[in-house]
This record gives sequence, structure tokens and C-alpha cells, in this order.
Amino acid sequence: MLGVFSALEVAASGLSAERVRMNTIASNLANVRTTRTPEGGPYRRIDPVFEAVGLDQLQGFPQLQRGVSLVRVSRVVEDQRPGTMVYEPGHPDANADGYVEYPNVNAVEEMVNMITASRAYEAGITSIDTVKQMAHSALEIGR
Amino acid sequence: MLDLFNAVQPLHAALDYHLERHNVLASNIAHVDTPGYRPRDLARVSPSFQSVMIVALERTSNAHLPGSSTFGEAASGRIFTDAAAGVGNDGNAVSLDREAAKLAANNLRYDVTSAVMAGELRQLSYAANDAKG
Amino acid sequence: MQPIVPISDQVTHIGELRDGAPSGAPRVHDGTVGFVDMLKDAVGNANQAAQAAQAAGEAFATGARDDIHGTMLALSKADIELRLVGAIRNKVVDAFYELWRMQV
Repeated sequence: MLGVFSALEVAASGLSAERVRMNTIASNLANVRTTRTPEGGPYRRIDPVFEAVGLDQLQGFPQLQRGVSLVRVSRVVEDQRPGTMVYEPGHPDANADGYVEYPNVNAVEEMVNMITASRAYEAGITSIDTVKQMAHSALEIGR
Repeated sequence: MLDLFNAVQPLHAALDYHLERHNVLASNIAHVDTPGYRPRDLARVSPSFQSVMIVALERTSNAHLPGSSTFGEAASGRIFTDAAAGVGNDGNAVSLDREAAKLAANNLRYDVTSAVMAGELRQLSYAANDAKG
Repeated sequence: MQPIVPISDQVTHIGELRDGAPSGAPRVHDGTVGFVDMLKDAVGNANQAAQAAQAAGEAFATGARDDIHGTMLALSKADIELRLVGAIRNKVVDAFYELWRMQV
């Protein structure tokens, strides 16, 4: 039966996923002016890709699997948009034409993503608190 | 008459298990920054399994300390390492959200088991009071 | 639920019940259950409910079932059934003593 404990598991997976998103946002913001990486080229902003995975308990009930699923970060992808080219001939990372390629990180975009992730995290916490309250009120049956 | 508290025994064992598991999970949370730490958890053991696992080492002198394995023969469960945890850069695999959720679920189970036991004992008490409340 | 037959009507039949030979005296009302049968039913239900509650409690404790409100409901049902049996027994005993004290 889909009960309290599956709800806790699902909400916790959401929290973990949002935490990963926060980490990628923090990495993007920290590297907003990183022009050099070990792989060569400037830093490229990263994004987590979330996917839905079925709960273990639902193995016997395929019709429910479409409704309830856990979140999992399947992979972290690099944004392939080109970075901004700035004319700085004296810069050590300038190319032959004197242009330096800066990362494709847009600080405003990252801040918006950060607010979204934070709200989603709070919503997950609320979900967990609510289901805990529901369980405790069930304990009042027959008290 | 002797099996009056038969129903309470498994509930008591369950409460012990949940309390020990809380300790294990709390230690995971305390180690959220320890490099190379993998989170542990406590699995239930059936009573028959438990009797096989508990082997007391023989002591040749009373002054010797009793032997014990480093990885925990917890009284009511078997400690295992959580393999599903993702590893971070420093080798630490503790996800605060996962451990906190496990802690919340474990706490809830403890509360429910405790309420069930209270209900059972209340029934026995009612009967022992000659059905007069 | 069947209407409860007044106990005074059943007192005269108790002796026959004990002897095991049903008398020719007919039941007071047709289609109603006797008090003794009702008590037997109540005890049986209470026993069943108590076993179900114990099984539900144990299933939750061992982790076999995760149903919180189902378990609590089973426990409450068993509690109520037990109290019902107890209340019936108390009433019967009180009624018996009241009759016993009656000056004939």
C-alpha cells in the first residue's frame, strides 16, 4: 500500500535532487569568470538532468507506477552554448585574434534557478512535515 | 497465565531495534563531513539468525576483556553499509536528506510500535482490573 | 442487531440450559436471539478482534505491513469489543445479585 513511508521516500528523493541542483548552481556562479579548465577552453555551465524512477514497492502494481515515482539525477550535462567573446589581447588565455572566451554562465539565470531550487526544497520539507503530522494523528485513533 | 505478555515481546524487540537504528543513523549525520565515510544502516534480524550470529569468545582468564568484532553485533540488528549512497569528491557518501528522511521514518515507526504496545497493555490492564476500567 | 430479550424471561430457562435438555417452553419472541447466544457471540467477536489486533501489531512491528491507521483501527476495535463483553458481564452479574437479594 502506498503509505506514509513511501511518501517520505519520495519527498526525500526530491530534496536530494534539489540539493544537487544547488550544487551545480553554486559551481556555475563560482566559475563565472573561469577562462581555463583542465580539458581546455573556458568553464561550461552545468545542469542536472532529473528522471523519474519507480518506487520499489510498486513493482507489483504497474498501474500505479505512472502516478508515483522517485526523482533521481540521471546525469549532469554541460551547456553547449558558446561563451561570450571579449576582446582582451593582453589576457593569457586570449586566442590568436586577441579574444578571450568567457563562460556561458548568466548570473541572473543562475539566481532564478537558485530561487526555484530553494522553493522546491522548502516544498519538499513541507510535504515531509505534513505526512508526519498525518501519521501522528492516525496514532490518536483509540487513544 | 505464563504467556500473558506474549504479544508484548515482539513489540519490545521492535522498539529496541528502532532505538538502535536511530543511533546508527544519528552517527551517519554526525559524519556528514568525514572523508571516505560510507553511511551505515541497521537491518532487522530474525531471532533464529541472531542466535547463530552471537558467538561468545572464550576467555581463559576473568581479567581478559570480552572479545567483540569491530563491525558491531548490534543486539537487535545487523549493521550493513548503505550501497545506494552516491559518493562525493572526498569519498564521503552521506546525503543529509536521505539520512534525515530515514531518521524521520524510523522515529515514526517507533511511535507507532509504542502506541500499539500501549494499546495491548491497556487491554491487559482492563482485564486485570476485573473489567471495571 | 436483534432486540435484547429481558433477562427475567431467560432466568427460568437457565436451569434447562444447564441440564442440556431443551424444555418444551417456547422462546419468548420468535426470531430474536437469546441473551446467552448474544453473550457467546460477543465473546467470540472479542476473541477474534483481539487476535486480529495482535497479528496486526506484530506485522507492523516486524515491518511486514506499513499500515498505520489500519493497525490502530484493529487495536481500537479489539479494545471496544473487549469492553463490550466486560460491560455485558458486569450488567449480568449486577442483575443476578439484585435478583438474589430479592426477598421472596
